[in-house]
Amino acid sequence: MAFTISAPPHHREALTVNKIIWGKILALVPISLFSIYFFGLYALGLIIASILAAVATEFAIQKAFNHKVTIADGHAVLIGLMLALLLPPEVPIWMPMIGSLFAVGVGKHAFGDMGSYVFNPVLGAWVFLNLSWGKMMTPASLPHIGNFSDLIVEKGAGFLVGVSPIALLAAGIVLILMKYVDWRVPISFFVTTFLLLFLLKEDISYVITGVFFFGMLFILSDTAMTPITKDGRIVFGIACGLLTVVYGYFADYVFAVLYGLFLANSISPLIERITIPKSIGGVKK
Amino acid sequence: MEKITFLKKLPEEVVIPLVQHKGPTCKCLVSKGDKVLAGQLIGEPTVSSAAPVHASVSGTVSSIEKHPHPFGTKTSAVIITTDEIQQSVEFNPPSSPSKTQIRQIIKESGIVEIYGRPTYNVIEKIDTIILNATYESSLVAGRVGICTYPNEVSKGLKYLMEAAGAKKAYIAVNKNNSEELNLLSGLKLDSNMEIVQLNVEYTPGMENLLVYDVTGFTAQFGGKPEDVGVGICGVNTAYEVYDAVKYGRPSMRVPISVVGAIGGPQSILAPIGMKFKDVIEACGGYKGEPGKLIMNGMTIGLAQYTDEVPVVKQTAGILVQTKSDVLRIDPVECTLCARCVDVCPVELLPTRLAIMADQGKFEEARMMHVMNCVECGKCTVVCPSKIPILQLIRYAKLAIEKAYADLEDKKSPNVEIGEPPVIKFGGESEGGV
Repeated sequence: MAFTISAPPHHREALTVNKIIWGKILALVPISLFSIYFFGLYALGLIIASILAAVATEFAIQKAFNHKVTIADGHAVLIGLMLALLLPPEVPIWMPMIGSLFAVGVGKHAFGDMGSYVFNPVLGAWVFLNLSWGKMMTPASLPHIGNFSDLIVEKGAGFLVGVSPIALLAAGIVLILMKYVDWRVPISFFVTTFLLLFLLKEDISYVITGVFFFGMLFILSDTAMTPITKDGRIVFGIACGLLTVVYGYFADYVFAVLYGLFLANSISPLIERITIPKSIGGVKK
Repeated sequence: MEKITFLKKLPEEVVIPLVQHKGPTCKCLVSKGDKVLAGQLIGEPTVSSAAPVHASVSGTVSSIEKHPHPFGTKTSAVIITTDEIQQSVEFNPPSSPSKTQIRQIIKESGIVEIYGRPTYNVIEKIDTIILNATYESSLVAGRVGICTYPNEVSKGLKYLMEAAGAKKAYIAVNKNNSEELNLLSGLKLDSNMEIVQLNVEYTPGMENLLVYDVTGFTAQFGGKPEDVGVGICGVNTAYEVYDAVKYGRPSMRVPISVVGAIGGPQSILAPIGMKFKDVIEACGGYKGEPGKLIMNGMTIGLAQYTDEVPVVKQTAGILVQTKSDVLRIDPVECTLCARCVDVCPVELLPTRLAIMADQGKFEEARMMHVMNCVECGKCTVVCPSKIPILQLIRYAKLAIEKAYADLEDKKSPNVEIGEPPVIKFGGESEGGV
């Protein structure tokens, strides 16, 4: 009788990277449908163009460098979808394509593929587009949550993602409850932001927008941009909140979230370095 | 409530390895054709860190040869053909044993802890005993032990304390096991025995962490719990001590959980030396085609290449996986999701250590305290990228141990990490456990 021999452990949890990524894509489907409903079929065109460009770029790069083609893990799809959602609905169709090309080509692969990149590809590409074509990237209006119905469908949304804060919040909470996303970063980001807003007596109706929840629950769920230490993740969330409020206090809170996270992203390795835990037993008593 | 079942029929032959502990092989006292009785001494220890071996059945020695050992090597073993009518040597326990007498009894009855050290060695110089009743879920014999004979276990613990001169004993129980907790709280325990509820399941190899979590003493990783005056004993060894002191029986049988793709999964009391295939047959045989045979649980167990291996004193569970259960893993890149960091019981950064080990940066890994890893395997179980983190860490640990093997004890200038443990090479242990 032949038995297989292998080193322990002999069982694994069922959760895989593919499941986490596709889970996030699935969680973004409701908000995509909302934005298509609200902005019309052109929004669907933007999303499709963005996803196709992202997937094509990944395929081309992996073929060109003779790497294993990993389109099936959904990461390129996720990048394309997330980038399209961060655009104003009026941009020309080439904009998401250039953005996705930059996100996957430079943001992801130039830094060494999944898990190794320094900047979140979506944020990086968004900053790139914003600095290159600032006029076109400026939203037509800034969202303002006047009453509760605005949380469900926000008519003043500047970006695709702004149309329904509640859809994003619900989807993100489901992801956290299913343990697809760690709770530490979003919670500490949320608490810090609102604590500072309260201290500065800011009007929160300009803050609880779609972009804020998108940043908190989807952009920050990219684990490659967050520190891996437990304390580091809390500190990182605080840094995100701080930078967001500093930017937002002097400008507006839509750009503040994205630039705040981008800036916090750049100090994430430093946060990790100072929060490495002392292992138990490493010190003599 | 699950209870331990007894064998209906003894196997036709048993294979008793002459090494059932960490250390050198015992000297064989019998030769081919000899008649042996159950409980008769057949292997005499040559050094003090070895445990004697007894015959578990009565019968005729059919041969003494190299036989596969469940720890992966081939060791000398006494093969005994079982008699139809079982006879045992006469046990005459002392009626009111003194401290030295109990020590002597524990030494002579060859009781071995699940992590491979003889019990009398463990209790030599300690003042606290921790009874570890927190085995992992697929390895329940220890827990079932408490459910089946709680009084005997607590009495055995009392004997252990007396023999060691220990002032305090802790019974470490898993919080989630309410059945066991209820039973223990119903027991009349002495004032110096205390039940501690813990969240972690302390598998063999995690003794130092158990000491830290229960008493707060920091035993140096790479050192032994006895260095800080604490001895760790299993539930089954406590029962065996009771058996030995009260009835004079040496260590001859172990309770084993037989689970997985088996006709009738159960906890069964098997004589030492019974082959795995006989145990599985007694539990209803294989269900479907077996793919993997594992001793001692899913997470830390050892996969066996044959079912001819015998039950030894360190066996606590047998697990069978079918062909389709056997994992075929294709790792992808790490996404730094930090799930491994969240589950690590000793607060390491397993993903970083795995990458360093993979790149051969062993000194950096040592600075990150890789030697403190207790090899519980939790990081590898939760990893969504399916990276064999535990194997990579073991690879780094082995490389570091080799690099420091012939070096004088020296403190690292930057990190206070303690002296690197020294491992000895060559000759000493044949069993290689």
